[in-house]
Amino acid sequence: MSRLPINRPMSVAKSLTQTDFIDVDINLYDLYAAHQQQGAVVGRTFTGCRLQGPAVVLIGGGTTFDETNFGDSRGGMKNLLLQPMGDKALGTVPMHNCTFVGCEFYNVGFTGSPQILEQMAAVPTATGPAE
Amino acid sequence: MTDVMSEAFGRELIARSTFSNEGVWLPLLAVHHMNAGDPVIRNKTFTDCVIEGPALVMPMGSTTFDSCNMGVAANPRSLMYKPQGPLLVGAVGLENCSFVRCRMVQIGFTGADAFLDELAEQLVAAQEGRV
Repeated sequence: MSRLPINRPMSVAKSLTQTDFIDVDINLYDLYAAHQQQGAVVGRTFTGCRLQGPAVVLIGGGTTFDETNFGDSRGGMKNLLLQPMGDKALGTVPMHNCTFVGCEFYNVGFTGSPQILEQMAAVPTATGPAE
Repeated sequence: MTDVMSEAFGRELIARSTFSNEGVWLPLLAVHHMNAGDPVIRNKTFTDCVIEGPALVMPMGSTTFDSCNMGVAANPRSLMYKPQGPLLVGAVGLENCSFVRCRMVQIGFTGADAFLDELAEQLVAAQEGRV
């Protein structure tokens, strides 16, 4: 059975340092602040969560998305994607070895390696196939 | 302790047009603008402030950066991102804002190619002591 759309009432995550987040709402910039010392969000699992920006997520190695709504792409997945112009990606919320299952993103952009961006651009949208 | 997510705090914050000698958490400022129905931060002057992310900003209109430290990166292009689509999601729009002697921390930049090229040239020139 599909987890999406998430219709439950808002439920703000009480802690931002746990390993598993289930059925909670999270501001990504708050999440980053809680993990700032490590410089990235690493090894967390998000199930049935709503994740809110404004933020740009750096999709690092080992991060997977299963049954995910990446947000309102306004007509094309490429509107959610940004290509880093340098060898680092400063200003983003880096996420490594994270697992997203049945999650929804709001006002979030995504960046990563050219391979990641290519895969993301191919994700079909509700308004039609990726351009 | 101030509840920075409260409506009262948000209304007070977005009503301000000047910020001086203080830390400004840009995602929070952006969220309160969005909560008030405005997706863009407009007509603010920041003087001697630390502007904190994580955030990607898209300067618009007559937004200017005067004597600012735009961030720390061996390669200034690591602060920059190229949008992959005609629209942009997850970035913080800054319209007609002035930044004077501010320091950017965990802030990335995006926008039109011409803006990114100009910013890169300025940052490289500053790094090489040419300006």
